[in-house]
Amino acid sequence: MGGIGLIILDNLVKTYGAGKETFTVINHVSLKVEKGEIFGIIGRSGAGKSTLLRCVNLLARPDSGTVTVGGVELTRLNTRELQARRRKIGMIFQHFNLLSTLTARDNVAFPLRLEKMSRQEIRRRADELLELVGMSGHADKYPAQLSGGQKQRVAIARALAAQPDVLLCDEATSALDQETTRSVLALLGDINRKLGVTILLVTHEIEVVRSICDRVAVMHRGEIVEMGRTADLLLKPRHPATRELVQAEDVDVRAWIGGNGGEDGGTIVRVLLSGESAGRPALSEAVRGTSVRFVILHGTVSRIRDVPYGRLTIRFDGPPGETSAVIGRLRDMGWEVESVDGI
Amino acid sequence: MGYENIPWPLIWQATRETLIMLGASLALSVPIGLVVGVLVFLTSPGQFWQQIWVHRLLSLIVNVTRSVPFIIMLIYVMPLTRWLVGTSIGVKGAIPPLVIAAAPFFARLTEIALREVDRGVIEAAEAMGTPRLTIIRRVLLREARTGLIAGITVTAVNLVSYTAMSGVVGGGGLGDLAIRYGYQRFRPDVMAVTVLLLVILVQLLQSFGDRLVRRLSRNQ
Repeated sequence: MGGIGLIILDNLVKTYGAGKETFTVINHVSLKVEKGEIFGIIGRSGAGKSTLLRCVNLLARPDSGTVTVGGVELTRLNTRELQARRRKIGMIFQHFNLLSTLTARDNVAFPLRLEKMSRQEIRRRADELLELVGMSGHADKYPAQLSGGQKQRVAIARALAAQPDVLLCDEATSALDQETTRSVLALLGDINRKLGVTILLVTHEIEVVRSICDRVAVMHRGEIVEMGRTADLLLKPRHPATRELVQAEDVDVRAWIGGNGGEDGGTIVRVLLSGESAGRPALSEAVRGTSVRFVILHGTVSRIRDVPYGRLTIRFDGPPGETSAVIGRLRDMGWEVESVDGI
Repeated sequence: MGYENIPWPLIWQATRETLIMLGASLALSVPIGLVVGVLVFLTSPGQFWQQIWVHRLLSLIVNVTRSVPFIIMLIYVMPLTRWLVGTSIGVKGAIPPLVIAAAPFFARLTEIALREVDRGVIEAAEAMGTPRLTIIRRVLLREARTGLIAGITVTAVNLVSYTAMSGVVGGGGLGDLAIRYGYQRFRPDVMAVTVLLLVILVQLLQSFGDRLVRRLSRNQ
């Protein structure tokens, strides 16, 4: 994407503490998020990703570097100007952060009351927003009467109230169970498509990135170590931190391999298939006419956004010459084959 | 001695004085304590008006005033009282020391109540571009309201017991009557009635406060 960037973070540095106790949370980070995309920042806890997200609306002020959103350099604004600009940057949080003393409707109305709007208009708009997030029936309930997923929906409605062009999500699904996570992510995807809201999200869950992010950046010890299209990055992770995040889900494979690896002369490989090549009966084609047999030790088939992909761990049993011929054929058919020793 | 000789006019007079002292000093110490408590809270580390030295100074003032026993405070601040209200005796003279004692107490309770407010909710309000005074009014004080009401109740009950000591400066009131009649003139009947009235007053204050807190926290 060659756009100019709706959110531009340029060379941000943020430290906490002073003197010898100084701790660098964000170390010279630059990032560009394009209009209309869903951009994910993933990393383990303590990687600095939440602080980075807070720099976008200056809830955390960077020590140096500039933050530009929609062409306005936020780091130059005075308090009043910043407050006005923040209204166009929605934000949702891991723990929802709704006012416990207000009903769902009044929570959504909170940002509207900062604008010059009549009471009826505010109420109408709040009800519209609640409808958008599927919470019409709960307008008069207090947060304590709602489930986690429902609270996050109200929080999303509140974040969208002032018609922002950016929505920041700070671990927005981390406090939710899997099913609720899925429905909240679907809602965020909808909002991105229907309203054209650019979403910048921070998460430690690879699933979140896999299901809705167009692009993703991996944060590790205050730095962005890898960045790219989601499918590319998840399927071909280069940096060790990325590998760790991506492969955390098939740890058992390594255990498997450690136990059985090659002792009976077999060759263990990891293959990756995505897009069109995922649909072909390539394995049986590849071994046809040879004495090589194969065992699938482990496999996952899933999709990243709309791209189907599979990742298999296979053991081939047969004469070494024939086995390498089989692997060659697979490569010709568009499969990526990697020897397991390379893990 | 029976109860037929009770000086009812004196008792009503004393009740009125107690209520005036309580009402006036509560009406003054709650807003003063609220402002000081909010300042102590917001100047503390991590809050949006973070000013360590202002925080420490305010905190020290609050602590010092809270550690002076009321009976001593009453006498100690007499010059100030005279300067403020023109006299240091009577109901009028009792009100400044009552406020000076109760406001810091309520300030501390306010600070504690504000600390209970979820930091994330304040952050969310900041992220929405809410001006700070609006955050104080519509987020901090609102979210802390049950704690604040409980604090007002405790302060009011404390004030009732402070007013009993104001007899020292001729402030009058039920406590004073209990000491002068019930104790010094050996009138157990007067003592009993005044104590009973004080108990009823405290009970009313406490149950009113509790009921309000319960009503407001029903859905939260």
